[in-house]
Amino acid sequence: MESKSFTTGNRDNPNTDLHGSKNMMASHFLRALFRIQQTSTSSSSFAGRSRRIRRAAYASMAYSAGARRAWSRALLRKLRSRARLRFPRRLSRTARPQRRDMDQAQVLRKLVPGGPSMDYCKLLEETADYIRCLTTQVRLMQTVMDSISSYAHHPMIP
Amino acid sequence: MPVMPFLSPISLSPPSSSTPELHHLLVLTTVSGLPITRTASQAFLVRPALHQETHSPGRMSSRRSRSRQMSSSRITDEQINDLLTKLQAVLPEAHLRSTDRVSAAKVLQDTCNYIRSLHREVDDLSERLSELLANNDINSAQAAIIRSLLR
Repeated sequence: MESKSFTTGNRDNPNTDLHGSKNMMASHFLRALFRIQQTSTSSSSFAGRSRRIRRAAYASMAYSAGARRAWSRALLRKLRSRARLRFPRRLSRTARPQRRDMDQAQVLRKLVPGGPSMDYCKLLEETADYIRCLTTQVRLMQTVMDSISSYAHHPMIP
Repeated sequence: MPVMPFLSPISLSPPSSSTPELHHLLVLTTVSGLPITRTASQAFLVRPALHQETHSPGRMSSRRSRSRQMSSSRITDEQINDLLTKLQAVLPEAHLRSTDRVSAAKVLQDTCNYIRSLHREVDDLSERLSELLANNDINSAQAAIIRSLLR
C-alpha cells in the first residue's frame, strides 16, 4: 500500500550524504510539528495550522540543503521575510503550444525558488536538486502521517 | 558572512531511556549540522573556475582559441542534453524512458507538471497532518514516529 518509505526512497546506497540531510530534514520538521501542536489551542483555526505545517515543510527542505543551493537560499530568504509562501499553481490560461523550450523554461522559473535569476543551465541543475528534495519531504510527511495514524489505532504496536 | 543558525534549539522534552532512537536522531542532527558553515563558503569559491580557462596562458593557434572561446562563452548542446537527462532521471517513471537525446520541451513540461503536483501534495499532506495534530497528541507517538522514520 505504501510506495516507498522515507529512508529507502533512493535506490542508492543509503550512506551517501543525502542520508545526513534527510535526518536533518526529519528532525527539523518533527520539532516544528511538536512546536505547532504545543502552541495550537483548541480555538486555532484549521487553516492556520495547515499553513504553519506547510511552512515548516518548506523550511526543513531549505535548511537541509542549506546555503549550498541557489533554490534553498532563495527559499530561506522568502521564509525569513515572512511573506506569504506561494507558488504559481494555475496553468497559463492561454494554452499555446510551446514551440521553443525557452518559453517552457520561463514557466519552470516561476515554480523553482530563485528561478527568475538563473540562467538556463543553472535552472536545469537546480530544478533536479529541488525535485529530489521535494520528493524526500513529501515521503517524510507521508511517513509521519502514517505512523501517527497507526499509533492512534494501535498504541502498543511499534 | 556570519554563521547562520540553521538549527533551532531543541524544545523537546529530554529523551527517556526507552527512546534511544530519538536521542540518536538528535545527535545525528547536530553532527550533520556542523559542516554547513564550511560548505557555505565553498559555494562561493566554485564560480571562478569558469573563467580560468580564458585567462590561462596557452598557444594562440586559431583553432585552440576558438574552442576555448566556445567552451567559455557558448554552452554546448551536449551540456544541455546532459543536464536534461539528469533532470529527467528524477521525474517519475524515469526508468521507462530512453537514454538517447531527450526532447527539451517534453522534459520541461513534465518537470513543470511534476513540480506542481508535488506542491499540491505538500499542501494536501499539511492539511491532513493539521487534522491529525488536532486529534492526537503526537508527543506520546514520538517514539513510534522516530522508529518508522529510521526503518
